Amino acid sequence: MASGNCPLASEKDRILLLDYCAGELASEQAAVLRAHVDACPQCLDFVAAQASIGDALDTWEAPPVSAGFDARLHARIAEETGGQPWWRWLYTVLELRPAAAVAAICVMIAAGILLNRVPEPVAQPEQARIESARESAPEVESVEQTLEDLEMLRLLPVNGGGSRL
Amino acid sequence: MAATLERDTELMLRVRDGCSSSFALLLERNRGPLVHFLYRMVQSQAVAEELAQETFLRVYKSRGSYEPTAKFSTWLFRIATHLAINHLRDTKNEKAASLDEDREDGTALQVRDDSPNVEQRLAVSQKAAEIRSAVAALPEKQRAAVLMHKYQEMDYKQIAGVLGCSESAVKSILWRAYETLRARLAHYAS
Repeated sequence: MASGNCPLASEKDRILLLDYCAGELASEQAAVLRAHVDACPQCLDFVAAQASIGDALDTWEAPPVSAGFDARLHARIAEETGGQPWWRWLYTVLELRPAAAVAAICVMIAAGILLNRVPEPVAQPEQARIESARESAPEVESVEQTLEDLEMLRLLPVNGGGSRL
Repeated sequence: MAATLERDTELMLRVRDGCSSSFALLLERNRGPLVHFLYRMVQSQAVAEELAQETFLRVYKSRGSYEPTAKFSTWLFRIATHLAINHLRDTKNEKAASLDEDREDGTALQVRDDSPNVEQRLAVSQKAAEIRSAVAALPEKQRAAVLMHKYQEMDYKQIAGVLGCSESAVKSILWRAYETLRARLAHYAS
């Protein structure tokens, strides 16, 4: 595009012309460039071509945003930032880091076993022993429930995906 | 425009402090420009809205750690641009199909049309298709830079912030993009 006669031959100079077309030059610099453009056929062509591109792009209108956009977003925010059940968290871990998930399950089972251990009845009165036995029964149920939940989790299909960035 | 951006930053700081109405206001002010930018990036209204939702969701989720180190819109468009570029790369092979998709939902010919007769409308449609095609043919960064420069009226500094490069790199990117567009749309020059 540049010719031997035009001093604005380099890419840097042409970028200056782009600035001129976009109206991003200071008034003094713009005046100097305007004087050159008026006298230079190549630069005049460049400015005209750039203006026509600008006009063509101006005709491209984007469609309006759909009416339900905000409602969908708020619903998504509520869904994604609200509290989620523990097994959903584990499901996410299982999906992303299987080794970490297995470790987490082992820790939970170990914790369950430890919690389930009944302390030795050292000089414990009869009434205290009865109460202790009563208290440990729900813990056993809780561990059983946890194991059932884990079995359900194991049966869930694992999806791939997740957004990048 | 600077006052607008400062207002957005102020609103985002309020969102960080737990003000939900400020988020609604931020959404109101930025929804249109962001969806329109994404529409021109991916050329599908449905995908543009989905990506815009993801962008706003990420903004909301990050509210607690927000620091006004840059203009809010720079941050917003940075997230959106990354999402759009990821989407374009993921669906590169489906590009042809996605261009047809908009024709089905009636958003393909979104060109200002004041023409009364059929011939003129056809010419406008053809022009729209050529503009879309020319923009779609640009590499992703060039496309994003042109759209932000032309439609969002961002300056080089802000585009550089969005794209994560220097101002001189932005100028070079824009130069190459407009050069391609001038070549492809040369017949519109009078």
